[in-house]
Amino acid sequence: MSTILKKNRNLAFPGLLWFLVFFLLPLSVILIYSITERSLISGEPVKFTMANFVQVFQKRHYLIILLRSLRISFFTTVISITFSYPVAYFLAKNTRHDRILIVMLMIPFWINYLIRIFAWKLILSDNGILNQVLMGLHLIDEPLRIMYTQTSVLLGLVYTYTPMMVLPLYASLSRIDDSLIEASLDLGASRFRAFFDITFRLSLTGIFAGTLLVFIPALGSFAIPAILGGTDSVLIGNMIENQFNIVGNWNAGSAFTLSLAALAIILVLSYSRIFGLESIYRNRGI
Amino acid sequence: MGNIVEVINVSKNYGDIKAVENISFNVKEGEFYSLLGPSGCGKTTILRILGGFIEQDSGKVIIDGKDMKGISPNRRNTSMVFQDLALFPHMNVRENIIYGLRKRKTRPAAIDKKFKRIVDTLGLSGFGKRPVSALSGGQRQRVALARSLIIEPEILLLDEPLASLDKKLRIAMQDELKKIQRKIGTTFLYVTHDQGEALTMSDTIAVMNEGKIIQTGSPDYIYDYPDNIFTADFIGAGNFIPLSSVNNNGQFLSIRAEKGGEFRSASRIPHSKSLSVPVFFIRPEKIKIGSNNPENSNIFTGTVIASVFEGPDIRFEVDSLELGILRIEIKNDGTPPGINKSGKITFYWSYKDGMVLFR
Repeated sequence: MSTILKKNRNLAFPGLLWFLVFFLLPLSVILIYSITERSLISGEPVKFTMANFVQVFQKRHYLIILLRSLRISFFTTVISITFSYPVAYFLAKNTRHDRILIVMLMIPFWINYLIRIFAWKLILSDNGILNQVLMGLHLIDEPLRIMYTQTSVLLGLVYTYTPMMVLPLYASLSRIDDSLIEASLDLGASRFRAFFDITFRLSLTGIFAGTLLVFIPALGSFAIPAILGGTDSVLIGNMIENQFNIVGNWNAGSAFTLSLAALAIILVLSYSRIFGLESIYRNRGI
Repeated sequence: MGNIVEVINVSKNYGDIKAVENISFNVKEGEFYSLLGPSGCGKTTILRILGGFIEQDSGKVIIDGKDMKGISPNRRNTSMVFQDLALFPHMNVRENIIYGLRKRKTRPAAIDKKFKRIVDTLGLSGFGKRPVSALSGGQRQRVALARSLIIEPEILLLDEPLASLDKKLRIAMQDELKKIQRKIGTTFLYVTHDQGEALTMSDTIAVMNEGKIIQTGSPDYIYDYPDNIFTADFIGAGNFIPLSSVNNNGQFLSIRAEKGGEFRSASRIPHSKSLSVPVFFIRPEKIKIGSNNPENSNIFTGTVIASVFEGPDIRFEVDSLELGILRIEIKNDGTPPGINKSGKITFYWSYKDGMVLFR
């Protein structure tokens, strides 16, 4: 650390305080709720218990919802990688207008995402735009049932989070020197091998970052399944929201929240272990 | 030895810009051949055409007797050492070096043998497991060389690979490159804008300017007998004395400088360029200081306006009323040159040194 940074170390204080108050405090509240019975503000003596966590793992219903959430988040991630890769590649390698195109990619973010999700409702519902077009073209006789299914939830999630995949992928792809590809070709690799050996390998950092930015929010999402989903597409986020807002059992809701966070952390850690990303980072910096 | 590379009337345009204009040259097998010129002269374009990364608009490239038209880089028996080296950052030294062999599906035993031989040759033994980011500039250079040489290319194409090194390392690598090339005998086609680099390493230099080759020859020939002002100016230092007349009177040329000085030269006027402006070109080290008046020399006087001590050499700037301002370079042999307090000196050069060039 340079001396100027050392001297001004105190400048970090407001930021740290902000974190402490707005991040640690709510988290502590949730932690306390998760290991106690009833409300803390009810005036009754506080009783510690693990019962909240036990029920998370005991009810089959919850397990089904958890697995469904994992599956839908997984597919959201895979589909968004598939869509984003060509787009990010184009932005990084095939155009000089990448900056303006990225701004355009971000324009939808200027509109509240709830409104955009409601727009999908207009498109996907039984007599929505999509079905009317398909029937008008006589491609189908009866409206497709997309709305209020897991498909519509998946669509909404992919739509919302794909830009989050494009950006880190674009960043990692644009860092790859074209001369690396040329060197690979020069040494005898086919175009396909060169892409796989060099471009794809070096973009794994982008895929990794993008996966975190898509998978974790998708796993915890509740507005999108609430608006676009039906009874078979309730996700963990909805269940947690349910516990807080409808059932009013903050203790159970907190236990669910922490279990989900723990699961996400375990997934991220094992994921980075499997992909061996540390080695990629270590070898960078040429 | 035959020609391993034949470039015949090759042109390449980028839009309206003529990057390479009707260029032809041959490279002999085992030769260290340099394309030397300022940036933007088209030398890298030629190299990339030979490597197969871009295709010429017209003309032919023949490598080892085969027309290279439409043959992609991975099916050419050439290999390129890139300016930024292009080492694969996610692979260690060994994986980088054997990459080409792997793509050629070489058997593991043969890979091991070739790897061992190349790292021994290039002094990289024991580096195999290191990540390339942990290497010094010179070591990276050698990894890039090893990676290209291990596939035994017919020609090694080098695109200013030393440009990013500091001066001392660059000079050390120049010697090393030349030694490696002698040892393995591969044909090197070297692109550089550094005339010192080209002079020290090459067997043949092609001087390029504005998309054309303007002179080809051995380093000493090009240095001593440039046939045009661009070459004379680009390689080494020189004095260019504007002339008002040149007359061929039998044995010597009788020359008159614009400032009035008259002198003689044993050189010949290359070809009739009556419309262009004549200039007398002489290297600073060919001019001697002293008044010992040797035979067949031109003698002038002037005033020293600046002197620079460069260690092995001492450089003077001398203002001569009859010739203009000249650069003179003498060896630092310990004996101080005869310069009196007023700075007036007498200097001379032999009739056989210097030549008339045309602008």
